[in-house]
Amino acid sequence: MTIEIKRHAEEITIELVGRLDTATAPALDMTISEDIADTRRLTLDLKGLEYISSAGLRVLLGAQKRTKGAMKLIHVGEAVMAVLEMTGFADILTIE
Amino acid sequence: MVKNRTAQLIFRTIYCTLGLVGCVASLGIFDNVDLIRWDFYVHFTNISNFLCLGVMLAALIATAKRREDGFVRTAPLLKFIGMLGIGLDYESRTLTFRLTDRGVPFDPLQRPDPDVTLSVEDREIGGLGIFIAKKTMDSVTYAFEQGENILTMTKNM
Repeated sequence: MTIEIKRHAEEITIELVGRLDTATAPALDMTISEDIADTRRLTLDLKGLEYISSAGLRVLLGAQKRTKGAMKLIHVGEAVMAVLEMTGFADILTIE
Repeated sequence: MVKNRTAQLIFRTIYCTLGLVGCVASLGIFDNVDLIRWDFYVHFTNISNFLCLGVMLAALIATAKRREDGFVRTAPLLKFIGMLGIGLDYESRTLTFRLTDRGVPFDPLQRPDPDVTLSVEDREIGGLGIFIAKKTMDSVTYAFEQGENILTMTKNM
């Protein structure tokens, strides 16, 4: 999985490409908790994300709590959306 | 079990790979990470990630034993750490995954399902792997028999 960080003033966009699973989730968690710990406006662009496991969901929930709800997901694909809906995440995360 | 040569190769790769993952998990390495230990159940679709490991395990494939009930067991050497068997029943079109280990008795299904209706503040982090496995598979059952944890999952094809 590749993680690309784009900063526009206060807003940070992270583009995820590949698979967010037990192998790759820790890297994203570290990125969110260390590199951009101070941000309050976070956008995750999931256009290139083909798969998400429960480990990935864990990171998303952690990020949502960390940013106090100022996180949004964009370009969520079908496969990832199915998992978000199955687990109730579709209701608690901001998806555009 | 599987007649076609290519299909046979694919299946061997799959069960060998998953066998390895099961073995590693049963060593207890992931025990303190409540999520990871059971997370690989939902990774059956991630075969491509593990294809290279499948090749490394070619020796194990060669010694894999097939039992009368259609389950394939990994090499005897691995018997004491953990095993994963995959059975395919053509008649009922069911794919069965059975994972066993000789660790302490642990029933992952006893863990209550996460409340998926809670707000983000109230939702606890973790516990989703088992939940997704339950949702994705057609059946998931657990038994402790003769010193073995046996988790059986079926998926109708």
